[in-house]
Amino acid sequence: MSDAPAHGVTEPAHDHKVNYLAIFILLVILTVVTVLAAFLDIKKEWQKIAIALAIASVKAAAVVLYFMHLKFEGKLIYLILIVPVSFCVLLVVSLLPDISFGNIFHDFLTKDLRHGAH
Amino acid sequence: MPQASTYPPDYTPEQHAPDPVLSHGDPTPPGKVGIWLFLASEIMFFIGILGSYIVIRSGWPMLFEQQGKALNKVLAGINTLVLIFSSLTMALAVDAARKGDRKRLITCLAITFACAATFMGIKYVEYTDKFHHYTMVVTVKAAGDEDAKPVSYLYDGHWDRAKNEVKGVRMELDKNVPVDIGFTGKAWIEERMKAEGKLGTGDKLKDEVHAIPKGATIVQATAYGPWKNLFLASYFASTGVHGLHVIGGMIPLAILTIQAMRRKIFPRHTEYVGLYWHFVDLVWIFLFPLLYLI
Repeated sequence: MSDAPAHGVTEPAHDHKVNYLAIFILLVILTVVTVLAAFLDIKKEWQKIAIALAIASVKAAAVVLYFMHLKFEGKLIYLILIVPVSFCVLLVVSLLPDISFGNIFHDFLTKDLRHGAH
Repeated sequence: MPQASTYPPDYTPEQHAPDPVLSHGDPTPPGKVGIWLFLASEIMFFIGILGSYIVIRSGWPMLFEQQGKALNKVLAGINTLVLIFSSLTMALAVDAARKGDRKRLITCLAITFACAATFMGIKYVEYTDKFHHYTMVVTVKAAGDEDAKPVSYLYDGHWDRAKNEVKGVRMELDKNVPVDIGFTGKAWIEERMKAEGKLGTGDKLKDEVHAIPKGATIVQATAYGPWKNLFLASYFASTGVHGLHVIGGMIPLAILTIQAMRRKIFPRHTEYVGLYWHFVDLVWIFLFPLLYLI
């Protein structure tokens, strides 16, 4: 038998020395931080959302990179991921103007019509 | 004369052929490509629901901010920690399976399964709480006085049908102001009472037990179900689908645990179940702040 593992029965060979406990502690700390941030008296809503989403993104990155071993994967996995992730952004960003800026456009339109009537 | 085969009798060519994946430079095994493709489709699935939440919220931020206050932040926070901990034990289980450490594998898988069950248990408590939480309009007419004008009250809280009382807040309604019970709640009542000067600007309404008087008519009532408003519809859609994924993850976790108890270890399969499980954790990492905190 050669040393090369046979196809189909290979053991997952890579032994990445990831300190899972450290990642877990980081995630717990970030969870506490995001809860505390929610109780802060932040007046502007977009700032609240930005803080919450920024912390969630850091947590998600820690989970994906270390728990899911993405950091040690080849290009193929990144290639698979980049498609849905970019579609996520595209989908939400392209739909947002429909509702959130709809009133602004509506105001512009009605103002123009009013001006036209005079 | 052709030379006789020197292969051993148990030789199977498939096991000795060059690995079609390994030989092409990328060491990613096909199963891993498969599970990542599945997770890619899962990302699209969840962004459909989360994206609609984001888009609807952007169109109606006031409703979402107000209604979000009705959710239980403490229970959701505990659930977040439970899921993160289960992610840790799952990562350790994958590690144990790779090293062939059967005892550690069984322990880690069992803890992961228990965490998933705990998560669903807390979710059940949360959902039951929502279905017993009512907003209602009650009209009371003074007894014995036919000409007296009826007074309407808006209640928001947990309705005990047997005792006919509401543990929550109550506000007298102005007849001239129309109220849609779908868009109201404790935060709304607080805001209104402050505007009407019945409550100081810095004060908070406290939950009290309000008995519904005898002879009163419940004109309108709705529980905090998905039908109440768009926020709750988003809440139930996203957490419900996520809960189904947790249940879906518990099945392979149970199978792997039982197989490990039967002295069978599947390192690859454990790794793939782990990838799925971390993804379920990942979705919750976004759901928790989006629904409960902001």
